[in-house]
Amino acid sequence: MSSFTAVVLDALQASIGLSAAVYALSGIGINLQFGYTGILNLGQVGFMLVGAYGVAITHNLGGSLWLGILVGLAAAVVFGLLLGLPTLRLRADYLAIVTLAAAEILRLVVRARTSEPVTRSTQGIVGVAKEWFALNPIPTGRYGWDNFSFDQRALWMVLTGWTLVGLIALLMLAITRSPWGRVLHGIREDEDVARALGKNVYVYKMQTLILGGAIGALAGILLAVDAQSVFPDTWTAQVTFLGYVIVILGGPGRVLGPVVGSILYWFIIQFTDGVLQLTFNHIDQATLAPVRFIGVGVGLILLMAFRPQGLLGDRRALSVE
Amino acid sequence: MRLPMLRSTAKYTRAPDLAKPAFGPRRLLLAGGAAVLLLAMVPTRADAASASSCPTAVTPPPGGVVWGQLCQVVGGAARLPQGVLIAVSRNGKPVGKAKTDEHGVFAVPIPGPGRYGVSLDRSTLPRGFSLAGRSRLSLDVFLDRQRVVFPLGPAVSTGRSLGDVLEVALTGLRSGLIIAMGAAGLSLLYRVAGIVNLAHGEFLTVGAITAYAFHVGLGLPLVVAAVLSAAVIGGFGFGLDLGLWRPLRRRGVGFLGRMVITIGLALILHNTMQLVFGVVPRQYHDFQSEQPLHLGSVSVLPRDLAVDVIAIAVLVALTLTLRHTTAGTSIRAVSDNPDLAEGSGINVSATIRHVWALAAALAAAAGVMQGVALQVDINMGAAILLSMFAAIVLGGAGSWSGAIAGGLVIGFAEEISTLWLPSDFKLVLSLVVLILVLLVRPQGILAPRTRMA
Repeated sequence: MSSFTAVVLDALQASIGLSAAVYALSGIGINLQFGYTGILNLGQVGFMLVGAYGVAITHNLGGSLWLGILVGLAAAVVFGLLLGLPTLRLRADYLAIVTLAAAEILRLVVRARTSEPVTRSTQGIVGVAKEWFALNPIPTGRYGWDNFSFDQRALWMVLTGWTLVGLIALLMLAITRSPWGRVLHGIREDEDVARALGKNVYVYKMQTLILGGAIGALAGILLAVDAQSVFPDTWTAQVTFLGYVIVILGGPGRVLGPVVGSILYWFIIQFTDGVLQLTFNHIDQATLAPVRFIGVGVGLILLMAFRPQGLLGDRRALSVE
Repeated sequence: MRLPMLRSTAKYTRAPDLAKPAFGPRRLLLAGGAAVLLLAMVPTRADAASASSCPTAVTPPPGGVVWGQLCQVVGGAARLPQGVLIAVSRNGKPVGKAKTDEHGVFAVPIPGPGRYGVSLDRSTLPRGFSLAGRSRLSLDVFLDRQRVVFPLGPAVSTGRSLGDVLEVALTGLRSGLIIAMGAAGLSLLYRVAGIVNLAHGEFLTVGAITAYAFHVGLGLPLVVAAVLSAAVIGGFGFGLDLGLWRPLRRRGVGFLGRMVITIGLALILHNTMQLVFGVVPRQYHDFQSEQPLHLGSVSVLPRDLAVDVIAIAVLVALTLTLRHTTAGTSIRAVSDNPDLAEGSGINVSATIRHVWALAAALAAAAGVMQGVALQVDINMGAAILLSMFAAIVLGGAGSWSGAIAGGLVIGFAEEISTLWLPSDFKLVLSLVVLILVLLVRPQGILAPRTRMA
């Protein structure tokens, strides 16, 4: 098999891998906020962190995975309330700045030495979510073909991830076609009109922030379960920014936008990595990673300038002022 | 809008009241008073750490025990306290107690491996001895025997001399000046160009690294390199508006869209720096082996004082430029009301370009100063981005003079907070300030009372 085929197979595997599922999920949350309602939450990674640490800290205190998931989701709701209360009545940029700051500060707080008794600081919390792998019904073995293959553990997680993405996407479909979803559209198009029709814009925005954040927390939980560990430095602002790239790539304001965006994003990233590695023999990760992010930045600017409606297209989604 | 629509256009040439400083003498006085109060609340104590000559090798007692030795250097000699009560518990139930013998050694028998709580009864410490750390420790015993250490000596975390506090205050002032320079540009961009520039932190980093390239790469003196860097980055800001933002303005990209584009810009700048400069922090070569100046009880490096003076000079020059030059007046006019400014013959697009150049140059200069005061690394700008935002919210978003005042307050408060809080929590303070201000007075503490949409 030629090495180019291997690159393509690697890229295909990455496009349906767990990272793609995690970002699709987180992106669905971002899409609800940014694409449907027109609020800019730059702290999605904070919601992910809260979910993941909810599971991990509960595990550390002797609770089960199921309790941990509930704790993580509840913490995300509280986090959303805390962020939304002071900012959602003000202009859109205040929410953006406060959420960006809050997510970064959560990361600094969990990695602080002072928090060590609870969060284990930079050592991270390991050994979580054994329960989920005990449920794995797939017999030991490798499934797939050549480079495009998963062992039973990876397959179980990929199936878990995409099932979750499917369920949440269905939920989004139902929500956006409901009267509630139509109000969100209204708010995005013209807040004052929605207000004039007697809708409490503030409450709708708060609900969107919390629901989208809780979906983000689910994405964080998925990541923590797969890694069976959490470390503070996973949760940087770049995770949020990639989420936005994915949403904008797929098409904001479309239910399947983030899903398509995530699959495509991970294919492109893995594919260009592979091609670069084939072309330049000795390129290392320390060079590859920044080159990749420069590409992501250029792509983001070009998308916003020339095709803000993304692949699936709904130009109105970005007419937010 | 603060400008009445009927005011004659001639007012735009030299209007002294166009952008009143957002902080009058009274507010500054208040801020100063608060700072003095903060300082007065700091516990001051001058303690010198004493050299230790306690025995290090001690034979452990036999058997399954939790054991240790207490020792403190008092008056230059190691002394071993006798009769100190040590209690061991497991899951909250007492396991055993012991008193230290004449060698300061205690040993409490334990049933086996596990997690134990060990506590020292402070009231049994003989006169002259004190506990430096906590009196209750948690201990994991893996084998049958485990040593536990209760360090004795003066408590290390509470005492501070007045000089230390003043040095922290000086560091706070410096950090505040740097934040203020960044925040002033950020606020001008916000008000004039309508851009929340999430890449502003990266402009600081790029400035510091460009100066590093001129300084270390080409061997120029740091001062020259800094000026060149500010000029080059200012030019870069100008070019950025010409090549990127002007076409985007023509396409009518919305507010959120522009914000997302600055994210792309931040990704590009940050990762280019990572490729070119690497992730290892470095120091400028000049002014490295300076002797600190001693001013009373405060010692300060001459280079840090120079940073303070230059930063103040830059901020004064900025104020004068905005108040008394034609370009500055145009900037203030556009920031107050772009439509009215355009109607009175001001070239809004060119004004926005000037603001980009100005903000980028200011950020670059702030970056070099940050690099001199600390070090040059690729995360230096991103690390103070949030403080800059906190500063402009505190000062009232869009008021450049408020942003400067807000920057000073935020930088000072962050450093002073390290006297009580672990330094990891510096930024938490900024966020708390940010959220409180938004809740209580969203137009900014230092800004005049106006209505917020």
